[in-house]
Amino acid sequence: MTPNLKKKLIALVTFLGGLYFFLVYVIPIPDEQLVLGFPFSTVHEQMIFAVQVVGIMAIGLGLINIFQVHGGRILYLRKDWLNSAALIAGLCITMFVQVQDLITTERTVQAWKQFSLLSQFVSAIAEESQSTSIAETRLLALDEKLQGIGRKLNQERHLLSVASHEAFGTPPAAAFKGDLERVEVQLASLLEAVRTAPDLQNLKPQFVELSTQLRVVGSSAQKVVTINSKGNTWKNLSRVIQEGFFVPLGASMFALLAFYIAGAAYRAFRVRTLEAGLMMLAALIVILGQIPQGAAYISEDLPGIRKWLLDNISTPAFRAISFGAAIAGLAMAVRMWLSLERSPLEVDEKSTRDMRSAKE
Amino acid sequence: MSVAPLSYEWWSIVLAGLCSLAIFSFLIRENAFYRFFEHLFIGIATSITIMMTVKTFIWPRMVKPLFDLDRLPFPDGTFAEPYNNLNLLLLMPMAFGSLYYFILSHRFAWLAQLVIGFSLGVAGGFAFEGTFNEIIPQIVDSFRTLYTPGVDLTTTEGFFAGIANIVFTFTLLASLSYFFFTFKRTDGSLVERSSHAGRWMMMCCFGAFFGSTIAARMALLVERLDFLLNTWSCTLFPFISICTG
Amino acid sequence: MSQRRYALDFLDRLDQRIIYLFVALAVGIPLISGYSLPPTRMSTAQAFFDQIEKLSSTKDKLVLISADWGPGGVAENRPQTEVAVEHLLRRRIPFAMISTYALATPFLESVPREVIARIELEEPQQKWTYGVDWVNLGYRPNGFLMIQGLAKSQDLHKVLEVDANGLQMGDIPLMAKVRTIRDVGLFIQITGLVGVLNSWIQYFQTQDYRPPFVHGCTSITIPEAYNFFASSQIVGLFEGVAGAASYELLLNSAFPNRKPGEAVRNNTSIAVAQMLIIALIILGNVGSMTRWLTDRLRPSEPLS
Repeated sequence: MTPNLKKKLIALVTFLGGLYFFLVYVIPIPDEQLVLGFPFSTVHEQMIFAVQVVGIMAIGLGLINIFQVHGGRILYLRKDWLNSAALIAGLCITMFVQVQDLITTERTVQAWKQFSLLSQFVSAIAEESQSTSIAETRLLALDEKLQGIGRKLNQERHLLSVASHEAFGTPPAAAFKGDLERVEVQLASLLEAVRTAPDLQNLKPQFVELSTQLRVVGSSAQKVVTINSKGNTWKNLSRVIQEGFFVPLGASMFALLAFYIAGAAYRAFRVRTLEAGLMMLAALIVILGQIPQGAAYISEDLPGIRKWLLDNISTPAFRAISFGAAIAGLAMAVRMWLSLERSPLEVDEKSTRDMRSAKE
Repeated sequence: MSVAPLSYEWWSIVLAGLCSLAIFSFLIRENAFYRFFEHLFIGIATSITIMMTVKTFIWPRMVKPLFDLDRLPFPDGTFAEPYNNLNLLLLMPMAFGSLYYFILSHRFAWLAQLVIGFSLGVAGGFAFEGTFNEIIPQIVDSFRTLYTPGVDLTTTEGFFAGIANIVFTFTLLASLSYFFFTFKRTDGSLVERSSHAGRWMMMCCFGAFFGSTIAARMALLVERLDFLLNTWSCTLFPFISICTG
Repeated sequence: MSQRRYALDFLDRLDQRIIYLFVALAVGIPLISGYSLPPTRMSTAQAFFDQIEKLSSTKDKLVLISADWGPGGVAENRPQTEVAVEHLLRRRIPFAMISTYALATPFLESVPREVIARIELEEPQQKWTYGVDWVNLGYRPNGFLMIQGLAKSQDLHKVLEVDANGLQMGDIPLMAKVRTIRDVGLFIQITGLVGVLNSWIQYFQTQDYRPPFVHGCTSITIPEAYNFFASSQIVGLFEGVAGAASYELLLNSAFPNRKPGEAVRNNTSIAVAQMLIIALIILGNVGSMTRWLTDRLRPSEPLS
């Protein structure tokens, strides 16, 4: 493919990327209008989702770059390799803990959501089964599933959770066991009825009751799972990483700025011109108007003066700047959209050849 | 506040204090301790960013629907609903987005430019809506009546309330004129004088920004020192007077 | 050639670390001693308060809180989020936490839980339940695209899918009636990051509906936030920690049994530090003014 064709293709894709969203803004289409057989609102949602997916795919680039730079330092024991090891270790350990946390979250949600699925299953049996024998077979499958859950419960201290058992012996746990036992009794009675009934029509209320009871079991299971998840090791480790490392390190780095601004204010802020003096005066009014000591010890009017300054001088001045910036931003966006700007990533074959020959 | 020793919460607080002191050690001199924790922070922050994206978007909205992990079977092996074949359409934006990785190749870097250009085009298309939604209300608000009725100009408060809109409009026009580069500026011309006035008004605005910035920076330090003095020290040394008092 | 010496030369040679020490003392002493002054009353915080007071607690509309701040915003944005969340909880108005900033994730869960724990201690007969009184929708990537998607969606359950804990939207009671942007009665945006509020203002609206916006900013962006406040694009504002401290006063009046928070004490500490900065600026200028005056009054004569 020639460089010219590549450039044109890139320009075309860039233009198409913006065209849809520009047209959606300037041409109001009703949400119920059918486009490709679907309401426009659905199509628009899916278009936004698709663009989000395209953007999300870049997530690995940062990781690759980190491993390239810091991994190389560690492998060849270059300068500061220990710091690079700290970076990679922090990254890998946190990722491992977060993945375990995600797995635990999925399993704990499944632990109680399975009852919602079983409730749906019972409704499906009532609606779809064409004969009592088919219904009986499916109900036996349900019975086997519930027996499996019951067997796990009978293993001491294993209560719906994958790692923790904080809920054992608590009222929610007792309520859950009681609800499950009631379901088992109801299921046994329904099975008996299905075996003897000529058809399922008269048994519909019993199916509905069983389906509802399974939902009740699901919500009492959710309470048990919530208690268990509090004692979960991976969640606790995740919290230690976040509260013990991530938050304090980040906050402390920003807190250093307080010292730097004090140093800068002392060394660099010199009132040498009238304009600098004006700037200093405005800063003083804003500071003194904001702090409680200003109103308490200097003048009660300071907060009002500060607000007047912000409303009638600072706001219009900033607004003028933001109008200019907005127009410039829009102009830049149009230039990017229409590929009138040269991309810094553009690979110019001529300059590549020149570089290669210079190397040789 | 009392925390059980050697519990997860205790370790969180103790480690948090050590991390804070490691970063503050930079104030004395740049040192290896600071650099080690700085790199550790970068690694953890990167990981959290990636994993949160996976947890909230990639896993529930991409991986699970595509690989049919969100559809659980009934006990008899059947499903409530069939696999939605439209989920396979996800492969298209995923494939297109994967072109980002060609940036690592010198020969095929132009493929990455396709998807980067597409993202820039999307941003450009959105820019119209965003800019007009943000700016139009501000333009409408900028048209203010110069005369404010019912205000007592003889009192200080009334006077400043009365001239507020005049000052507002003057400041706005003067500041806007500072950016009119298409008009010829000669000494003493109206544009020259108004842009000069605009510069003065903008200096007031920057002064307001500077005054506000100081408060923001100090707040960051207050929070950390509060933690170190009142939480961390009391967790490690609960017998000291500020903790028992 | 001897170098000219000036009076107050030592001010120029002052070690930076001494300045750092003064800053640490100015901030630390009020924190340890508990010295605090009532904060300045702010009309912008009052406007914020009035917006929440106007809401009906019939649970038919949701309040959406976008906490777009991370460890760098803990100092100012956290107290703002805490007082806003506390007000909503006390009035039993359901709210959802969300963020477009990945590093905000731990706070989306921890801030409401800590506030609930605190007010449940004060009011033991009252309980607040996850999924009924509040929900954590977690971090949502893709910035303005996500915001547009939320605004234009006809079914938020499909766009959001699950909350931060993996629960489906359909399983969360408070989300049952929340399907479109029209079900959002108030939008609270709290951030210190540049451009985030702009994205929400630009895209979180449809052609015929825009929920009222209130904003919590760090002190740096107060002048910028005033621009939006003046044009009514936001109808309430927290001006840094001072705004949160002012809001605490309003909460103390509305709920007299409330235990005072830390925003007032921290605000006083910040104020002392700001006074130190003013003193340092004046001191620095005194030093340079002395040089200037000496050069003008005695242009050729060395000091000693």
